[in-house]
Amino acid sequence: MKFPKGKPIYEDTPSALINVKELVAWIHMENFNGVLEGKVGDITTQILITDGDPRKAFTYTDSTILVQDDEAIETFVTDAMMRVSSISLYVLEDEIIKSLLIRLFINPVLSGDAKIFDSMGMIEKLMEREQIGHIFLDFNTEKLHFLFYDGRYLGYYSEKDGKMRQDEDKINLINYLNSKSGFLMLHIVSLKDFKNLKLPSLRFGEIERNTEFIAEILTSFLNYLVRAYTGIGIYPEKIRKIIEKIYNENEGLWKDILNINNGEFLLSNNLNVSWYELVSNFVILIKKINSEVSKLWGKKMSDQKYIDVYREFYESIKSSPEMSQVFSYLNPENLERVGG
Amino acid sequence: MKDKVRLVEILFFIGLLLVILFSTIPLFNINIPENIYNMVYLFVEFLAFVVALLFFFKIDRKQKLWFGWLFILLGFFIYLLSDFLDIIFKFENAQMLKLLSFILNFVALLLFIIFLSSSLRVRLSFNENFLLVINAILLFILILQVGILPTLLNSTMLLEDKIINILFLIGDYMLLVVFMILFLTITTNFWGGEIAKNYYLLTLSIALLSVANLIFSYILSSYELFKINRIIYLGGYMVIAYSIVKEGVLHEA
Repeated sequence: MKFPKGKPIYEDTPSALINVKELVAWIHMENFNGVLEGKVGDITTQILITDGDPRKAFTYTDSTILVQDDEAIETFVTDAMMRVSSISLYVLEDEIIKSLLIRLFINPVLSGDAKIFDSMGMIEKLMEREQIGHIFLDFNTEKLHFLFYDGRYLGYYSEKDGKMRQDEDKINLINYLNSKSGFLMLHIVSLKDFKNLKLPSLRFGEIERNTEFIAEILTSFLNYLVRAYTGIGIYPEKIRKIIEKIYNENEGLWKDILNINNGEFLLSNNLNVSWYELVSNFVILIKKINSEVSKLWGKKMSDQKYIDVYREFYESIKSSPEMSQVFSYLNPENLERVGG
Repeated sequence: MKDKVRLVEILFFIGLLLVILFSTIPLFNINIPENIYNMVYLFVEFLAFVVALLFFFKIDRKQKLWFGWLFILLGFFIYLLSDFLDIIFKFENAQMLKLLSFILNFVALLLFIIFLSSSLRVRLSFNENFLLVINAILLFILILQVGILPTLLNSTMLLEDKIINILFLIGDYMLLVVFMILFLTITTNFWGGEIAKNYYLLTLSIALLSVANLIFSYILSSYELFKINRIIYLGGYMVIAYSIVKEGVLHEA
């Protein structure tokens, strides 16, 4: 399945001009929705991203799918890092994305030769509210996708060019369905059921692979910070209690990454998070700690202490460009901006 | 925990109100035996001390500021003792114990300043130091004018009394100077924080005691008017007790 092209952020830009790690971090950070595309010659990789996480990826030439999911992402990342591909990034509307997702992750309601189905009955059903719909028509020479959301027909696209077409009067939809040729698949799901749909989260290959090393450094920084805050001698027990309270209140968020024992953070044995999840969770945790400490010490003092701790620790990691990048998110100025 | 603090606030408020009531009632030609007033006063003071003591035990001993709070509590205890000896046993040298109480308060504020400036590497800016020096000089001139010189030049006063008076004056002066340093340090560095609120309560109440001492002893010369000096001192110490309560609560929560 080829994805439609939405509103381009950039198109066919040489990968040599793009910092892919930054791009991936940005996609995660912004909860991006859309399609990331990489091309090398006639081989194209498309990655469908929702809420900042890759959900599905294909690498294909013309009509043949070569690899998909993790392997497809691996292809994209390798080509991008080797600076041989050209990269495009398209934003897709939330409604279009949902209609695409049901085609990928939900079993079809109908599947078979188009001629056996009642086209008007199908349209009537798809125009009902509180549901998401998707019709896929395969005419061998052309593959078409018709998208529906909450009683509205969003338009259609052809896999040939990926361009979304408005078809407000449904003329093309009716014509294609009434042609009674090709293979048809119909997907319908209620909005309520869609909410319960568990989407897989793929990883950006090599970029997110060395998370364990990063996690160790971040845990060291966190413990260094806690020791510094409690070591000052102003309310050490209170600070320890605050930190444990923050950890326990948000256990769901950290439990995949961190455990706490006697005020010391320990890295979880089964680290199963993406680079972004790891960094953002640490950033959020540290921001929450600083925010609570500032209620006790006042903003000026807590800011000053964090700056001191950050500077001291940064000295030990600044030689590593990768860690410098990670720590840029923990920079006192950037930390202020996290979460508004 | 909020309920406990609210209870303390109500208790302190009622206690202080009772003392004010008993000291103003004679103004309306209603005579109350002096003993009853004294007992109410001592009871309220004792109650404030016991509450402060209970909450003092909640303060984390691992933190260095604990010593400061210990001296504050000791200062309160000595003041309570001096009142007890003065009222019950009519002990003549009870005033000396009050001086000791002021010294303990002074040591406590000094400890807070030393700890904050050394451990936290907190320093006041040149402008803040300049402001402090100017204020300290002006305050010294004021105390010299209204207290020290009149005391020294008073030919009717015994040498022993002169020495005690001057010691009190210097004690008040030093207490006000350390108050200014601590108050400015807290304001410039801990503004908006929970802990700042406790130190504001503490420093302001100690400053109130010093200022009240100067006003009643050397400016008004007489402070027997419906025992207002006692009310102010008691109020000051109750605020000190309240700051200990808040500090204890901060550690417990």
